[in-house]
Amino acid sequence: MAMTRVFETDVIIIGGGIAGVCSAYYLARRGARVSLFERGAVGTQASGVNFGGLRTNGRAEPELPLSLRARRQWQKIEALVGDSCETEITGHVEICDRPEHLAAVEQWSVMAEHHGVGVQMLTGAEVARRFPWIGTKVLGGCFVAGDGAANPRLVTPVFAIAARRLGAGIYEYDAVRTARHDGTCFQIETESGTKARAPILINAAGAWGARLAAQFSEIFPLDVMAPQMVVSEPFPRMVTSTVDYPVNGRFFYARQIGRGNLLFGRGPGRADLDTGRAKYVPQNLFDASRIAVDVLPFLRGRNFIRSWAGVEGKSPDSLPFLGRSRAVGGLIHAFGFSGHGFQLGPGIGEVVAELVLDGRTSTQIEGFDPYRFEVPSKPMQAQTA
Amino acid sequence: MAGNDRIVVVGSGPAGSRAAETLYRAGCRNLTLISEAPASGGQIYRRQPAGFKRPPASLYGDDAAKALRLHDAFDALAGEIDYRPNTLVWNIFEGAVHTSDASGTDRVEFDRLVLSTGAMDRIIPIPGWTLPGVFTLGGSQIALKNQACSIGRAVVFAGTGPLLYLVAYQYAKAGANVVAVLDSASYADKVRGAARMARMPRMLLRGLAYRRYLSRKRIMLREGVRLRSIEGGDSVQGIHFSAGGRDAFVPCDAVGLGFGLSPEMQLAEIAGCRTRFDADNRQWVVAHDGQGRAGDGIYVAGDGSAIGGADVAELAGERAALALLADIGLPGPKARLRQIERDLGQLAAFRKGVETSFPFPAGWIGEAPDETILCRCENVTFGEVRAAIDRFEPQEVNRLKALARPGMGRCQGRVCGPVLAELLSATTGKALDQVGKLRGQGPVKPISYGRTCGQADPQVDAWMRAGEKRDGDDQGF
Repeated sequence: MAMTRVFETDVIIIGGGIAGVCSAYYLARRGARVSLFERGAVGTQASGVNFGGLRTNGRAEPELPLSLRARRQWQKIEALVGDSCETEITGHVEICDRPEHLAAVEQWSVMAEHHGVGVQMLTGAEVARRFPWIGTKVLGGCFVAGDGAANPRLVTPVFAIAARRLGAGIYEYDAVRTARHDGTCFQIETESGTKARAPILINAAGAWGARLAAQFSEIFPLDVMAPQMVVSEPFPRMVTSTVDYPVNGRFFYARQIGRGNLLFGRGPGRADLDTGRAKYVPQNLFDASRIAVDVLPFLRGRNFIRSWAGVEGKSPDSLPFLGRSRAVGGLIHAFGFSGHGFQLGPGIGEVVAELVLDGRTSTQIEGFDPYRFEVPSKPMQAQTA
Repeated sequence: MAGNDRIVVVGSGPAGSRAAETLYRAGCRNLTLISEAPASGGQIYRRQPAGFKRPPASLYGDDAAKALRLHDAFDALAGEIDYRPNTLVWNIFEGAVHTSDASGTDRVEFDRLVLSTGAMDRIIPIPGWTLPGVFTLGGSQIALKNQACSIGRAVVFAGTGPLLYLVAYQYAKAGANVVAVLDSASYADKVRGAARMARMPRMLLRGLAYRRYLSRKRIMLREGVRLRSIEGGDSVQGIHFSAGGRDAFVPCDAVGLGFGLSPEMQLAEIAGCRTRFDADNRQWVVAHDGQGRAGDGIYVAGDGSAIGGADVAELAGERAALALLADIGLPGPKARLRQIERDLGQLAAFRKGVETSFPFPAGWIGEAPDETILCRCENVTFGEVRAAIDRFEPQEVNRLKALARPGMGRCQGRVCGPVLAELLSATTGKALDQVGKLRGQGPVKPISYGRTCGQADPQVDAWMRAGEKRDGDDQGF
């Protein structure tokens, strides 16, 4: 869009990942005028190339309220957006073959039940009976029936179409060149020359969120990470739930999609913020294969056909920066989802819409306080799968 | 010492063989040649398996002497270089190629890398192209050269390009029943091309001789053909086409289909080489400096960088090797380089004639019926891709792949990738080079989990082994 005049809108969103696009959708649903600007196409970075897991299982406690809120949206997602996202509620099992892991998972399950996650602890025998395709003998497992998966390549584009139908302006291939606050309003200028003004600005720039915040003199400790995936050739459906298994401190996670391909993740790959491209690291693939042939032994004779990695922002405690800016009124940060933001997407959208339109949100987001690293922070545990 | 640079050559066809020979002769001793093939020679000078005893003239025809020279040059390196046949290079990462063979996977570090990865058939999907009995032209030729087999009892060769007539000739000569040769290029195309090919009359005459031979055998030859469909239930029963304003049907039980060749440039892309759009051929090629230098320590030669044919590949392989040698302080004789340039110049002019004679009928792609399969690996139809274009308005092909799955399967889009780009271009009106190309990604071909697991980190391996060992101990849980 080539415009020379400055157009006025209610909310400007920078970043067309799932956080930004869902924010646009839920804001537009509630009648706000929204303009979203994305450097490339929507949902191409971490939002588009991730595992596609819709997992509440194993999430850190501060994330559970948001994750559960998102889960309620996922349950009706296709009715909301009017299109298929290849969503499947298959359940998700975290398996344990080390006593210390089992103890930690049991502890987590008690906490999660207080939040209403819907957890079932399984014995080793129950895991074997329920998931006969798991090849390793395990001590037990933690199963969440309400978890599942969606096709990440479709979800964000589909949300973008739905947001447009509601009147949101979603501008792709139009990077924001400058963003500033003139005392009353935010003013942005894009590569195409578009100028827009709004009293509210949403920073949904993902791995680039800290760079955008720096334009408003706010410094956040955001690192970059690259989740890495491997996919097999298709074969008849066998893996009925997503399976998660920690090996040597990092998770291995796998699911089989409707088409028959088995997708597994183990990272990290290597990301480059300047080029916006990520590379998969072959060693992860070797390690994942080693784990896979034990956990999913039928893979031994099968082939993998693709591997990839995506660029993602990571915070020191793997929880996002989500909340209002202290420095600039009207600026809301929503970035740094640290490799597990896909499931949160619709929840983020609802929360951002509430922050903008109600001035407050009904969901607990205290754990995401963008300024939590300024004071000595409490240690928090979060898994990266 | 310069001669100690670790050099890896990928591919043992005309380009790779000549590159390795040139490097070895110049004193390079740390030389590894990796090839997916069981023996050197490439597709064109492919050797027959052990136990087959056809004479060279029956395998290579007029090129027998060239084939033997190339084989001999390669065989002279036996025992002198680290030669790894039956080995796939499936990825390149941080100064090493990743390989896979029957025994597992491995990595080979290099200081310099020569990529001579060859080409594969260029396909236009027509209705029925995935029926059993449809082969590519190159595949048809391999069946004959390798196993002395015909792809069927009544064979039609269809498409365009010099390979169309060569394969038909080879089949007919070997006694196979060739029913028809259907060429999308018109007679007028050939007249235009012949003027440019006349600079190398011997090669031009050879092409004409194939046609004469086929005519003498009373094989149906049609030009300016528009292929409509390949018919059949479980396998091929015939082919529909129109020519000269008339529809026709030829019964057959096998079809060899091809429209020229595409460079196998995935490894070059993974190695970070830039690509360049060749507008005349409507295809992407690897960009290099004119000597084969395509990146930092990366050299390309032969059909894997741009389609030129076997003679070009031999010369380009030698030229890339000379460039590499100059870069490590072992410059070769200038006179030889000048001779190579002269010969390549002549061949390039001839090549333009070939391209003019057999233009790629790109227009067919936009006209393909909705129900025709575009991506056979993922079973995605033209209609499904068109629907995704309409709904999501993707700007380039990688996005389209993500949205509709074409190019995501076992072949990694090597077959359908260029078709997808043509379709996106035809549907949106954007120029072909503006819709991009599918990015080359590793693994370039499927790799078995069972093979890669041997390269796992020892700590990960130990973790998994500890889990296995504990099986018996924890019955109490």
